[in-house]
Amino acid sequence: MNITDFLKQSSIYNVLATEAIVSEDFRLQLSKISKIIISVLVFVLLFIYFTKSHPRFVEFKVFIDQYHIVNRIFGIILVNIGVYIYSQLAKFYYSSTYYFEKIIGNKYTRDEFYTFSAGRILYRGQKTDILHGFIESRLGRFIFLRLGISLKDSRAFLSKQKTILKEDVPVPEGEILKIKDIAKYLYSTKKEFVKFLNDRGITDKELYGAIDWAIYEIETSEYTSQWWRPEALARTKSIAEDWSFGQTFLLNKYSRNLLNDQEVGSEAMSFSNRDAEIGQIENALSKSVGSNALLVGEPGQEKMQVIWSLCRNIKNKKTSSALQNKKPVLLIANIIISACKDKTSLEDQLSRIFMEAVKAGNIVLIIDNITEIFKHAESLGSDFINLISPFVSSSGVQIVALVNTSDFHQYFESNKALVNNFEAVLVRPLNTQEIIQIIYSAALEAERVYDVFFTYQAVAELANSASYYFSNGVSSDKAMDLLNEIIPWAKRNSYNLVGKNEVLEYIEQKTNIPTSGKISSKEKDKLVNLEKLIGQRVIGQNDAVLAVSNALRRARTGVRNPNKPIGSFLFLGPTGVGKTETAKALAYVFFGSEDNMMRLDMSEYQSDDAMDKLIGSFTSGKQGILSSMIREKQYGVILLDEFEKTNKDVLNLFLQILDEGFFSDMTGQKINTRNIMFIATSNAAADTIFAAVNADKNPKDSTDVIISEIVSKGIFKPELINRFDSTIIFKPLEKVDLQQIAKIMLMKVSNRMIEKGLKFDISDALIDYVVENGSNKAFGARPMNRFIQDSVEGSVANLILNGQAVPGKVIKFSIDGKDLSEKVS
Amino acid sequence: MFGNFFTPWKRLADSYPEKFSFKTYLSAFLANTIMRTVGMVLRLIIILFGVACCIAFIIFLPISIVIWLALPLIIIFLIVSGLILIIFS
Repeated sequence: MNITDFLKQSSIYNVLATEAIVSEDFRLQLSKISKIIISVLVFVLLFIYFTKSHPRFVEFKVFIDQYHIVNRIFGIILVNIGVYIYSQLAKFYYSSTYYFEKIIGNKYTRDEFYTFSAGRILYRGQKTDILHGFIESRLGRFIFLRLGISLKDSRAFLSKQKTILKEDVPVPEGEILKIKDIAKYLYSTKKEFVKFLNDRGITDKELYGAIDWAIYEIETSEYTSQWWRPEALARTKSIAEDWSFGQTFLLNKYSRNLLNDQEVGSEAMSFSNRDAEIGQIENALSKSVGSNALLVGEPGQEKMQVIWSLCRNIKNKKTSSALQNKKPVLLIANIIISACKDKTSLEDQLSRIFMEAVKAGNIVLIIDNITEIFKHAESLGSDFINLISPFVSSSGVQIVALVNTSDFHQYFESNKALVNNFEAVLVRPLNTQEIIQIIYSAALEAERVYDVFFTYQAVAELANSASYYFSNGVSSDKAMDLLNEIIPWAKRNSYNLVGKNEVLEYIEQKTNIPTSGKISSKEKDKLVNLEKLIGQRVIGQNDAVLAVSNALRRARTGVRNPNKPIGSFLFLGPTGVGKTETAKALAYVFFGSEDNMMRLDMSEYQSDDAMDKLIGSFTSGKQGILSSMIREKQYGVILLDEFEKTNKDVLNLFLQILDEGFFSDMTGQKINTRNIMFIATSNAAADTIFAAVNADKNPKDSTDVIISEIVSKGIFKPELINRFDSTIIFKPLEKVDLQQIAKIMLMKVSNRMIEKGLKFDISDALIDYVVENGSNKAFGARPMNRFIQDSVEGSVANLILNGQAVPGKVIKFSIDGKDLSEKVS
Repeated sequence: MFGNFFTPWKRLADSYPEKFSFKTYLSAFLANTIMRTVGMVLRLIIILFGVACCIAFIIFLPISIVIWLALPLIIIFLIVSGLILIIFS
């Protein structure tokens, strides 16, 4: 069907046609200018009136009278009043006919063919084509800006495009044609358009996301400006609305009226996905007896956001009859705790507060962090639940208590009195898409106040990074924190346009985690040559080094699975073959310093309290070693030495960590391990590895045999082994490898001697001597260090003490049969 | 509704003693009477104000409807008469 015919089917067509004559921008300008002219001229008229009898202004008066200035000014004012009234009427007209496709859940749906935004683009593209219509329209230009594409760029692109005459209308996915359908159509049919976007690193997902945000912005501003809507009118407080209810003098001391909170007042923030939770709370509060709810959720602001949404509904009078004209007040636990230091005063104040609330008759009492009051009462020997139970079951007051999930399980779940009177409502954690929605409105607010501009990619990155780069807390809180922190940072660095790269740069500065935003050429070199760099320290284990290097490259370029740790390896092999050294080398080369390797000796976690030690203890309140380790350093290597020696519970914990990239600590708080590389070492099945080597086989080829032996012996479960990115077999070191290692160790001694002005001659004979006497089959290269200390370093120390080795001298070792003798020259 | 008209102001009422004591009974009675009077007076004022608003509404509603319907014509009138004043003064 022809575009014009399609458009004419709908009643919106007339609106679009009149809008095309006088554009919205022009109308806004008219309204503004006419307002200014009217006020200035009224001021001038007043000036003329008050100066007419003043002798100093006689000439001025003559001039005024001669040219009938007053009449003319009056005429200009009348014209401008006409223009102003027109612009206001037009605003009512266009705003009332606006079709809301995103916010308020399509409530304005009529029997339509297309939405307003889609109609605007098609109308614009009638004479050219849809691509021109999209890019030339005000909305299209705005969407491009949100994608970080400048007006100049999009115009240059458009000038090269030929128009397609008689283009068909895109087929909508749903019942009516939306702007997203148009974008999908353009993306699937216009190759140049796709190339234009892809050249700028923009994917189709980002295009649709930017459209979503642009529509959200337009619709919220349209919605909030409609002051004549019944909901908006209902926000005005009626006279004498609360006269029939009582006063709460004492309660006011310990609480605040939530209806006055900024979050409740802002209509822009009212489009949250909390309808399910709010519905459950309303149901609970509508009961005749025990009309109370217990809001259970992760620590953070999410529970409070649900409450704010509920309060907004109360304020807008969009709530069930049980909550009409109610006054939600937030009882602040900390004030009560600090004011009531002994049992008597706490019990007295609490019962009076609750009594007052019951007597007032219109109070919805919201108790933030009820656990704090509960614990405080317990410490004073008072039973809080028992104390409030007469009020809880009364119909005079509705209570909503906020509690963290872990506290709920620990203190309240088993308490029958409480469970009977409170209905538990679980606050669902928001997913990334919903977090983006929250960031939409917050970012718009920030743009208005701080004069910055966010691209859609930046907003999406904020939401993604919140769960990706930070170790604990609720994602939506973290995303909001990130947004609030990034604004002053951007202002300081003179970034008025915040894009994805700026967000990643900020996160990199904050967390020291390299984000995949920018890879410097120095880092690129490092990544390409990882094998070489690690290989300088790890001798004879090429397969292991290659596997680890590949994992690191995957992580840094962003190809890895974001919901798992950076990498996880199980290093199997006999003692002293370089397993720990590989981990250290990795920390040094990739993470910048050996300090970024954290080590857990798993043989210390064999007993029953191993889990308490690692993730903290609920009863003692002690923090766990693993959880605090990750909180302190959320980016680095964790070496799990002698992994096979730990107990089954700990192995199960790692099953989850390796699979999902997080675990919950003793308080139930999630700890993110997605920026950690786990390396577990074990010398289980060392005998099989030796046997393979003795049979002249490469242990790498016997990996399956080795793993099945470990499984059959019950050392690790097969599912645990499968969770590791790779199981790497470290082979016993050969003589050549040991010689190299001995050389490296002796070089270290030599370097220390150079610092003292001495020279140290490392001969092949010395290296062979160290290898033969220092290493053994069972412990690999490990005893060699000790041997060098005892023999070589010991001898050098004696030479220094007896004055033979002084700066400038060369120390040379010679081997005579089994004896080592030193010579200074 | 008539019962509500005399209820104490913002539920500020003293409760009567369980065991009869003339003194406390009297003081509660007096306090409650004052509160009921205050409530009654304030309610009366607001009711009268409301009635006045209703009357104003009844009077002005037809006028505003007429103005609203005639607004397009008023716009034309304003612009034309303004232009006349500017040009022909």
